[in-house]
Amino acid sequence: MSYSFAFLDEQSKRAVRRALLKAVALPGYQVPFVSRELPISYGWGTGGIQITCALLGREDVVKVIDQGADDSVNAVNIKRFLQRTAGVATTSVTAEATIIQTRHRIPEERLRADQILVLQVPYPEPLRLVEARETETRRMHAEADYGRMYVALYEDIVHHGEITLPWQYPAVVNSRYLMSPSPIPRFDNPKLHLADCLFLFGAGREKRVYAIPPHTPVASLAFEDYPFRAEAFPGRRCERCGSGDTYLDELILDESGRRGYQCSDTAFCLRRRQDPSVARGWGEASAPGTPRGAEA
Amino acid sequence: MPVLSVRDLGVTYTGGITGCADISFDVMPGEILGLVGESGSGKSTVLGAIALTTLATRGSALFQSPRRGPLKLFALNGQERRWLRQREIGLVHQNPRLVLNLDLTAGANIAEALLEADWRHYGKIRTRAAELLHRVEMDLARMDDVPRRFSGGMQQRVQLAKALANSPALLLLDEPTGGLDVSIQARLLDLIRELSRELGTAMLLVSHDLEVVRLLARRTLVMQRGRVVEAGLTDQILEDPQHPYTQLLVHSRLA
Amino acid sequence: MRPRLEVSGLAKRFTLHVLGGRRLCAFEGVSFRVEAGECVQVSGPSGAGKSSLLKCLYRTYPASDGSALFDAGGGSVDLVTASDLEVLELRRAAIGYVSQFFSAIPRLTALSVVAEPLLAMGVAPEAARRRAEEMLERLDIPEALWDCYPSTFSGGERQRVNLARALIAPRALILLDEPTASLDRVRRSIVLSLLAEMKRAGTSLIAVFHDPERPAVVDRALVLQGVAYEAM
Repeated sequence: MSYSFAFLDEQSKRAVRRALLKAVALPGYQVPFVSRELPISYGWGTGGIQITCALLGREDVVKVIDQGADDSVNAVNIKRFLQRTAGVATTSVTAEATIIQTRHRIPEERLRADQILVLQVPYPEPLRLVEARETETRRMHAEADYGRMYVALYEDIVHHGEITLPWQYPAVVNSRYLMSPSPIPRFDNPKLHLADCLFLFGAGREKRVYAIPPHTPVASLAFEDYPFRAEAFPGRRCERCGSGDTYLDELILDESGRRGYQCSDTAFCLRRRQDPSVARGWGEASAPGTPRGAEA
Repeated sequence: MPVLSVRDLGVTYTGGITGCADISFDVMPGEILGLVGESGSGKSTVLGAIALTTLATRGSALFQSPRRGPLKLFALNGQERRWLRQREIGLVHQNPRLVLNLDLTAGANIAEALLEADWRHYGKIRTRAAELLHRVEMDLARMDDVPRRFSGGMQQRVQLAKALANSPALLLLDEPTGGLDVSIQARLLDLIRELSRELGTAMLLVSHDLEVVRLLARRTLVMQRGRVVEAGLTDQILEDPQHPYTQLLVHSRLA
Repeated sequence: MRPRLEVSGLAKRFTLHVLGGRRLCAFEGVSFRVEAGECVQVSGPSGAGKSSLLKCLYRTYPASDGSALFDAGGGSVDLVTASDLEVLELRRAAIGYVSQFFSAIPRLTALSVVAEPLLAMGVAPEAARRRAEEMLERLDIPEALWDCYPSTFSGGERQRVNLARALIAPRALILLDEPTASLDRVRRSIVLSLLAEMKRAGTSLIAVFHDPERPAVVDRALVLQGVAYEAM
């Protein structure tokens, strides 16, 4: 039995591409699409996979990461699936990839205009936190009636003194639609702003795709007196490469239970180890730990 | 110049049931107008039509919006209605639990009204919420508590604070003290009267209780079976009711 | 010059629907005038409709017939046919009323109750408060009670709070229904001298006094005859 190129039949791919075009034309807007059956269950990246499959051409080079790592089980499985059904080349070197599919992280290196980042999204609706009804959230998007989202942030400050939302930090795209940037940590939010690459978000179970085209302003929600702050890891460095400006995972390093930190983006960590002067490249707005007020 | 001018308002539900018919009245700036009737009289229907939560099938309502000038309420689209409800027409329900989010802090409930009106400064929101809670005579220490743990009277105060958050020109109150203990009712009614005097907010007050209307409204409409049967000065309605139904209502009072 | 108030053929009838439509007549064919600064007493046997007459003028009772032309210098208004809003405006600034009964507003202190009419006329809160204190003092309400609730007062104290409230603001016409009923002789004379002062300032008074009293402040008396009852 032979599969279509990249598993999906051409009609399905065409339907996904149409949805993607619409998504690109309406930055941040959730476009519904009919999710196809894949040999992977919902919750494991079917949305992202369908986008990748719809876009793949024979010349593409695909990188797949999960939690920043190329060698996690899920990433490897997806890569294998794509190799088998499309025969495309795969890589773990970010600069070599034309399409990067990811769960939970945006690579530390700035992506180029010829690259596409496909993000896997479990919960595309940022307003679900404050409103359970789909009819109501749709109306809120239609009328840009986002006040209630801020209520959640208000409560956060009341209880914790600051906005502590760690991931899925909502952002307004192109000054119009509020979106959930998928479960990337807020550390990665600034990377979405005025990027050179195309971001595509796919939610298979919820059957939605959305997009951030290149050079689009993306403003993470904040109050005038509580501006957005990306996480920082003050005083911590990666055990392997010594970086102090990347997103770090906390790990237990050996049998004695010793804890340490390592770059989440394993490929970037490797580059830094080879050449410590390699820059991250994302703009000023994405510098980690942007100070708030007088804090240095 | 009335804040609200209603002419020939009628609401007919699908199936042909009349909610109310031929309702006309004005609410003047700074006044509290009472709307009295028993269950099924249509008074809540009238309120719902003005609050734009019930669809009016006949008639017109002209509202003097402080920010947008004269507006024909029944001709507004959904977004315009929402804008008005968020900023210029406040609503206090009988049951605060239906309106408040019981698991958000009292301050957050009030903040919601401000945030919907595009306030984006946390500090200023806090200050305004505290000011409002102070106005409705709530202990500021409760600002960061959740209303689920409050008494009915306190929940109602939070609802009142929220309804007043954006300084509406018109406040609609639907049995605001229903279900509360008598002593709590009295204090809440006094509060409403004081707020009316202090803020100059025009109010339309719906109640089945003549005592509530006596204390607050200087003019009153009496409704029966969807229609206004008598309208006049509140003291006249209570001491010399003209219409048979009004007489029945007044003479049936327990006090 | 026009009289302050000219009443012609005023009548008040009640129809009691709850009693099967029985009709009562409080009074009929009442005509009289009141000049500025004049005090007219309304007297007559019990049940003659004296209180009803006052209430008709204040519009608590809508009159059934006749007219009551009121002119405080700003043009003539027929109290019988005036609109509700016009009446409310007159009550705010021109016409006062003291009833026999004190209807308590639950949580207003005596001081607030008395100051309220001044606040409604736009007087600044501080000035209103001071005038209210003066008034309460004049009517012999002890200072300790000023910040208390009148619903806890004795009948006589409540009546004096009532009076203080009605007499504090300058009015063109004041209607008084048994203003001295619960007062002892000393306090009664305080009230009467207060009324005399207001007369001198130009206020017209129409009062029902506890018969057969006829205080010195009264200039003329209007006697209401017995009424006819019509059973239906």
